[in-house]
Order: sequence, then structure tokens, then C-alpha cells
Amino acid sequence: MIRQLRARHLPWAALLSLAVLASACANSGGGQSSGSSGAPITLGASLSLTGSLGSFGVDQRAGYQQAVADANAAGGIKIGGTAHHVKLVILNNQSDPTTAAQQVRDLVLKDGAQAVLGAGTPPITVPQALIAESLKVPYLTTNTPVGAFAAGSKTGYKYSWDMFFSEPEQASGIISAVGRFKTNHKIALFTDNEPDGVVERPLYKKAAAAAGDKVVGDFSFPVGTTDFTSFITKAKASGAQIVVGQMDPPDAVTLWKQMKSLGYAPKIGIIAKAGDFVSWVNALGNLAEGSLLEAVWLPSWNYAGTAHVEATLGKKFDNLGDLGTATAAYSVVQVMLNAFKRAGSTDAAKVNTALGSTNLTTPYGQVQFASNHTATMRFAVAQWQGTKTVPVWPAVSGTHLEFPMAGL
Amino acid sequence: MSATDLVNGFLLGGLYVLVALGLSLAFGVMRLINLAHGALVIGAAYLALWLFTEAGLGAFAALPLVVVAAVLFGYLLQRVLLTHLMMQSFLLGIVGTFGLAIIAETAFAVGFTSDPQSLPSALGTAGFTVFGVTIRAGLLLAFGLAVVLSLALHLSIRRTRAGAMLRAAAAEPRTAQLMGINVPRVFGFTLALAAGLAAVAGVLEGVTASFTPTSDQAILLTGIAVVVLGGVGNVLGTLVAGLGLGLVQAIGIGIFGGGYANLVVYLVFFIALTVRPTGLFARSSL
Repeated sequence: MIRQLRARHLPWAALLSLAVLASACANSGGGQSSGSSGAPITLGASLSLTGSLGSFGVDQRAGYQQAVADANAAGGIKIGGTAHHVKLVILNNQSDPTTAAQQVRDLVLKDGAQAVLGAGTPPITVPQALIAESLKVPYLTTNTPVGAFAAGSKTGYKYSWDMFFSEPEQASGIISAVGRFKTNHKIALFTDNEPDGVVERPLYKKAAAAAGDKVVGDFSFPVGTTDFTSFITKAKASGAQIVVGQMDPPDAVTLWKQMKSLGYAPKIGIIAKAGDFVSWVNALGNLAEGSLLEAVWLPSWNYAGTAHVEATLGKKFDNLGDLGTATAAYSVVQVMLNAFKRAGSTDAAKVNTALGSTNLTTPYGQVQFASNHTATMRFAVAQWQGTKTVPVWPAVSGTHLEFPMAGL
Repeated sequence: MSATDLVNGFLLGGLYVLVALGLSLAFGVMRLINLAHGALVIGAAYLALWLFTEAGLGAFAALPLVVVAAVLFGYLLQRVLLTHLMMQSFLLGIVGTFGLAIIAETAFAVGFTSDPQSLPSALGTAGFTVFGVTIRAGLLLAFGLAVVLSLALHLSIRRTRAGAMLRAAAAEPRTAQLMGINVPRVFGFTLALAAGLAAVAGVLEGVTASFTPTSDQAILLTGIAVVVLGGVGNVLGTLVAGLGLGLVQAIGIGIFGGGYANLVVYLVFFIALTVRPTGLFARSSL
């Protein structure tokens, strides 16, 4: 019988092996290229297209691809009188820091990337930046709060750069945003143990104290927590009418559902990072109604190129969360290619020096790097109203805000 | 730590039981450590989500269809692939299920993106208060199903002819084959049953929490902890261990805070295994 089984099923074993190989290969992403008079400039990007941070990666990919397409449509990048088209190679790091770091190495050493564009969130981008440092290749990222990025290197970065908002501004912005609503100023704070959660937790408390709010529940937990019952019952008992959090998306969806089932109905709430994308609304449906999100960017700021971004990326993303992330990514490519142009060379050291002297207006805002290799960008908060978003902070006149949150 | 925390922690254990039952059954009967079990759980949640988006079926209306699909898939998977791999070597069976889990994760991500998903259900977000204790309705249902399915499975194994065949195949497959029992078919039915139980767990998981393509890993780890604590192949032991784990987790969070929840659970796990290396309830149902 064993032999019979062996003979009958051997092809299936081979099929399984092939499928496993195919699965592994499927994660290696792809690129796009086009001909030009000069050799193409290769930009590599290791993005979190799947995994817990998949929402970031999909938006960033759209931004990177659009910016590269625009650059090529304009004839490429002129360096020393020669036009170079831009080739973009994207790999999927599956939201895994080790893979993300390794892929930076692969992009440079195997794919010939002359500069690397980063993913999002410190656990992914800091390891990427450290590999770029060791390879002496320019690396530029966004969606990484600048404090956490700067703290990622004890000796200071030489080749790695970040353009995003700062943690204190994020915390004070969120507290200011919830302050626009009439509540009892009692806050329940939910933060996970990822680096940004750890950094933001004291900053939220500091910003709340400065605003005259009181943190009556301070709950910290590991990523992957699936039962929030004890925290929710405490938050409910303390009478907190405001929920502020910094969490991974899957955990936050679970938290929100459990708040509903345990009868906890805060009047206003925001879970930074988790609630920033339309996937939040898709997963929660009506429960997400009225919750707030980090918008990263507002069209009303009206930086140069905003109309183009709205006309292109705006067709893919009709909410401020996803569109803001894509716009930031779009601007990252602009900054990087601008550095190539100003360097007048594809030499890594020259491009890196040019990056350091960037003073460029992008759709995302004015980019100028500080000595710690970060450019602090503006921060905004919006509100989910169905699958659409409206700005909350900074206040934009003519917008109608929903209060209290209808979802919970 | 409130009574609500303890009661809901205990009920959450019901979900752990549902996850672990199929895993325990597969290992107890076939000695197969099914590393794709978590993927079966999540796969069921994704199938229910697909039935909702494509056919408008609610999670519990979709549940019978999802279970049937899982049972058929489990049977075919075992008959077509896994039995063959297991016949070649014990390790090949494990590697095969590991490969299946990777394929499943990729397939889920391609089919549904890696965004967190959740099954919309009024029951999943419903709760009620009894004597000051707020109970999550979804967890209460999971608990009820865990008890009913555990007892039904235990009695089926111990009291029915099919159960006797299962036990014979588990105890000595070659002798059972010589006695006229079609062991590959019994193995097929075993994984079919395990997949069906995983499907119930998957729908409940999707209703009460959220899931992503890679959620299978954490689910598998929890399932393995319950199986080992309860004693491999011991259905009633799995029931007690799952409920106990949920309770211990709630107590751990209540005393030490959320940051130490997993530490407490696995500390208890290792202490229990040190004292009782074969699990707290070593005697198998099989």
C-alpha cells in the first residue's frame, strides 16, 4: 500500500515543491524600465506590500510608481546634459524587518540600485537605513516619525534620510484635534510596544497635560494582543470619553470591535497608524464612523504639484489617509531625483551630499534636512465620514464634523 | 481585575478550544503536526468574508457552507497529498503542511490584500450585562460551541463504530490496515473533521476579532499550547486546557498588565509541562 501511495502521489509532492518555490518567487516583486539616451538610474524600494503594514506599502508603491512615471514622461533626469530614464525595482518585505533589511542589500548588490527608497514605520525603515549606511548608498524614506528615525543610529546617519512629521507634533496635533470636540477631557490611552508606540506614549500624556486633559487609562500591550477586555472595562469605568491610541491595524480593529461588544462608547477616538487607511473602514464598516485619522497631508496646504497629485493619485485614493501616504511617497522620489540632478552625477557620495542640501517644494511640503538627516513635515488629523475624510486639525473652514462618533 | 475580565477570559478560552480540537485530532490519530492548521482557520474566515461580499451571506448563514467546504478540502488534501508525504517520512508530512501554510498566506494576500479584515456580524459586536458582568455575545457562542463540539467529538470517538476505527488507526495503523480498516480513508476523514472544526473556529475568530493573511501563525501557536497542555489526542483535556488558558491569560493581564500577558501564559505552559510532561490530561481519547 505504501508503494502504491508513493507512486500515485509523487507528482503531487513535486507540485507542492514547485508551488512553494513559486510562492517564494512571487514575493520578489518586479520593476519597470524604459530606454533612454543615458543608462537608466535605478531606484530600489523594499515596501511592506503584505503583512501587518500592508496598507502603507500599497499606498507608497502607488506614489513611487507615479513619480517615476512622471519623471520618465518628462524625458527622464538630465545629468551632465544626458537624459537618464528612471527604473524602479520594488520588492515586498512582507512587513518583516529582517527581510526589509536584507532586501536593501539585494536591491543594491543584485539589482544595481543607485539609491533606495524606504518603506514605512521605524521597525522597518531603521534596519533598512542601517544597511544603506553600511553599503554607502543614499536612502530616503517617509512614514517614519523623525525622532524614531534619528534615534535608530547611535553614531548618526551619513547616507540615510527621512522626511515625515515629528512625534511631539503628532502627539500635540492629535490632542488638539480631539480637543475640538466637547468632551469631559478624560482620555483612555492605548499604545502597543512597537517603537513608535513606546515613543508616543509619554508624548501623548505630556500633550494631554498641556491641553488640560487627563489620561485616566494608560494601557500598553504587545503587538498581536487579541483580548482587550480588561483595558476596555477599566477605560469604561474611568469614564473616559476620548480614546487615543498608537497601534498596528489588526489589533486596533479587534480593540474597536471589543469596545462595541463591551458597551464602551467614547465620544471621539483615534488610533494612529491603524485608523489611517481605508482598510480601517473596510474592516470595521459602520463601527469606524466618526473616528479620526492621521492625515499626514492636506490638499488645502496647496504646495506646488498638489493639483497634479490630486489628478493622478487622487483617482486611486479618495481619502486623505491613503492619498497623504501616497503623496509623501511621491515627494520622496522627487527629492531623490532632484538630488541626482543637482549632483550632476550618479556617484553615491555626490548624490548623498546633494540630498543633504535639498531645499525643494514638493506636493508634500517644503523639504529641507536638518543635521540629523531628517526633514520635519507638517501633520494633520481628519475624520472618517463613511469612506470619505474631512480635515479636523488644522481646522479647515466649511467642513462639517460628526460628533459624537456614530460608530460606537 | 473585574468579574467581566475573568468571565470573558474564560469564554475566550472557548475560541482557543475550537482552534485546538482539530489540531489535537490530527496529531492524535495521524501523528501529524499540522502546521497548516492556522491557515485552515484563517482560510475559513476568508471564505466566509468572500461569501459575504459576493453573495451577501452573513457570517453565521455562511458557516454551514464554510464547514462543508473545509471538510471536503481537508479530505482531499489528506488523501491526495499528506498521506503520501507521511508515508515517506514523519518529517515530510510536517514540511508539507508548512509549505501549505506559506502557500495559503500568499494566496490570502493576493486574493484579499494584507489589510486587516473582520466578518461583519451583529453578534460579534453584541454584549449584554448580567449581575454587573458584561459578556461578549460572540465569545459566549464560541464557548457554547466549544463545549458541545468537544463532548460530541469525545463521545463519537469513544462510543461509535467510526470512532473505534479512528482509535484503531491511531493506535496501530499497520495492524488496523491488516484488519480491513482503510487507514488512508480514516486519515482522510480525520483531516476532514479537523478542517471542519477549524472552519468553525475561523468564522468565530473573524466575527469576534480581526484577521490578516499571516494571522495563522499566532493562531497555530495558541492551538499547539492548548493541545500540549490538554494532552495530545485528549478531547476533554483540550477543552479544559483551552478554557484554563483563557482564564490564566485574563488573570495575568489583570495582575501584571497587558505587556506580560503572553509571558504569563507561556510561563504557566512551561511549568505545567515540567510537572506533567505528557500534558495535564495525558490519557488520550483515542
